[in-house]
Amino acid sequence: MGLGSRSGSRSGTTELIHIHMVIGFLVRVGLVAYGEHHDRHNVLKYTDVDYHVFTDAAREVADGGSPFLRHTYRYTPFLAWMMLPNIYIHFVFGKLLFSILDCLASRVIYEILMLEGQSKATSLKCCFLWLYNPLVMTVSTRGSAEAVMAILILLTLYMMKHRLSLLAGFLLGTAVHFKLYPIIYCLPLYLSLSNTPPQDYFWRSFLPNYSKMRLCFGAVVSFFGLTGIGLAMYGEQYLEEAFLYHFSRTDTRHNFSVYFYLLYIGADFKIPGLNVATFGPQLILVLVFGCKYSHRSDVHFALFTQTVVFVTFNKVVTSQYFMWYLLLLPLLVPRLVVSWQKAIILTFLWFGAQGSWLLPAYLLEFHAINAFVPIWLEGIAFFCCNVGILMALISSYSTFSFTHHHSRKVR
Amino acid sequence: MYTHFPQWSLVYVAVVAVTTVTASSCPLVLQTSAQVERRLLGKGFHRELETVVQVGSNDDVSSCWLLVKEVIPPGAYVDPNQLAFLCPLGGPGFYIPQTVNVETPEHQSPRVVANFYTAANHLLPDGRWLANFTVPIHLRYHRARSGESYSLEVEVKVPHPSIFLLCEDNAGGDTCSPLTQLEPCPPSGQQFCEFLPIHSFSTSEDVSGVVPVGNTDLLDTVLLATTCLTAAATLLLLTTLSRTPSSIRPIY
Repeated sequence: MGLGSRSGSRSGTTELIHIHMVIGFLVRVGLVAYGEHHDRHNVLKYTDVDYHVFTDAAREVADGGSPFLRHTYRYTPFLAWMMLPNIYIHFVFGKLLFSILDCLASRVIYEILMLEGQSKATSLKCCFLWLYNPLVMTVSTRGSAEAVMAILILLTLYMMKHRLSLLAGFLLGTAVHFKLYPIIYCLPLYLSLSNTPPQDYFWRSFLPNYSKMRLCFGAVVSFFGLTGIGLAMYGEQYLEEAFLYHFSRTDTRHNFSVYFYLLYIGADFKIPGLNVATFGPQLILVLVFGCKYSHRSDVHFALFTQTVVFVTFNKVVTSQYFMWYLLLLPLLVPRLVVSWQKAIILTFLWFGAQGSWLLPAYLLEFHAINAFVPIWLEGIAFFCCNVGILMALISSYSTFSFTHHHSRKVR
Repeated sequence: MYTHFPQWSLVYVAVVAVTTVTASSCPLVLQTSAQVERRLLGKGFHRELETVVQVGSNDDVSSCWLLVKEVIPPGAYVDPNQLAFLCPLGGPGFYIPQTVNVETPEHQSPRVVANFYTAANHLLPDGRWLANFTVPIHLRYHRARSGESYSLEVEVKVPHPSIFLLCEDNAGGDTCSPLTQLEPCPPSGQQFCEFLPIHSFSTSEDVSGVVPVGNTDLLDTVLLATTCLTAAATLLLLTTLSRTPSSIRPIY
């Protein structure tokens, strides 16, 4: 059942994916080398600020202290441990590790698509959407740890495909321990393990069965186990920094969120119902999407749409958050009935909306030009763009019922 | 015309007088002065603060440590972690005795005291010793305000630093001992050392940076537009969903 244990007929494609993984890794090594060169000669650094945070936290651990002694370290302590070679071997170790995980993630995408019955060529092309995605390559080689999340989420889905719900739960719990956001995946993953989805009584799909209990058990054990170890080692500061901070976070600095300017200029005003107005749509949509596409054949689309609405309606949005749904996109592409022209237009629209947001943000941050209103308007444009693209994808997506019905007709 | 003369001014005059009398007996302090010139390089929120100190002295101060003591106002900060990263790359030694929150806005931030350690070991043609260093400094977000009543720009001034010298043991003799001030030792402030305060002056004003701020006059418009938009988008997505086949009713 290992990733590489396939029959001889697949060996050609398996070798091909290996070659592409090596090429993808070499491109990333080149970007890491460029980043080192760039940082030595430019004021505007290539390396992500968070990478320095991980490295500083690892240094604290190496000195026998707590990673949370590093101000703004708000991650699992195990990430700081993973970054210890940054101190003992070389500063770029973490970037190379994230690059390797990136390439492994593309392999898992390939395997999942093969398990879904996609052709070798389709699976290969779809995994390129992650392996050769310039955004993904840049984020990893700048030193952002999103690749760790990517591999954990994808392995969860891989185990789900194999009906190994205990292992899937273990990986899901680990992912939630690393970053809180995958907790939204619990609902569709749980529902997807229903044996006989009722046609009339949806609530019955919430009833537990053996697979669901194994998923929950694995998730609870790994989440509380890892969190408990962290708590035992680093005390309450770990809980405060890694978990509680995210609930009370009120970052009013400019970001992609549609709520940014409202939260900034409204920070000193008590606006009744503002929390409900900002959190309500996000919660409703995450739950509705989680239920709507909860059949095991559509669960990837549930996770994708949940993530898109979670990020799009969030009060703080940075470009790293886009990785959370880009990761799942390759798994959906074979199920999207969309023309090449439309796909290209949607892609350009998404990148264009981001690019046009960056201009006023750059003018504000690096030229002190009062561009708050343009940033807000660009944030609205980007929000509309994301909602529009999501609607287009929903319309283009062929659900299990559609494809199954369609295939029976063909037969 | 009657002029109010506050009591603290009398205290200040008394302190200066005592210091001057004591300083007159410490040759190193008496015969040493430092000219401090500053520039805030770049634009926007992320700047570089360049400090040039020219020390004029009858003594050879090239082997002394020069302490440049900054008091960064709440509207700006220096990031200790960034400074620590830059230290092995040629940045100055430093000691910051407090945790610096790099995320809070100006009105929730304290001022930051930062000691920078360098050496004035470059001899200028006019006989003065030169020290210069550059550190990254960041301006903080400021509270939004009414555009009708106030300017939508805030000026953040970084005052001139105090200058201290740390030379070999008992430099200047016993006469200087009463003047010494305990400050964290270079290069990273593990212990305390006795520094001599040096008279410093500048030919330029305090350096300053400008930070744009949001306009609270727009709050009603922004609130209405944002909440209506997100509510409309939510309804639109729910409507789209209701028109698509659901996977919770599969055909087996």
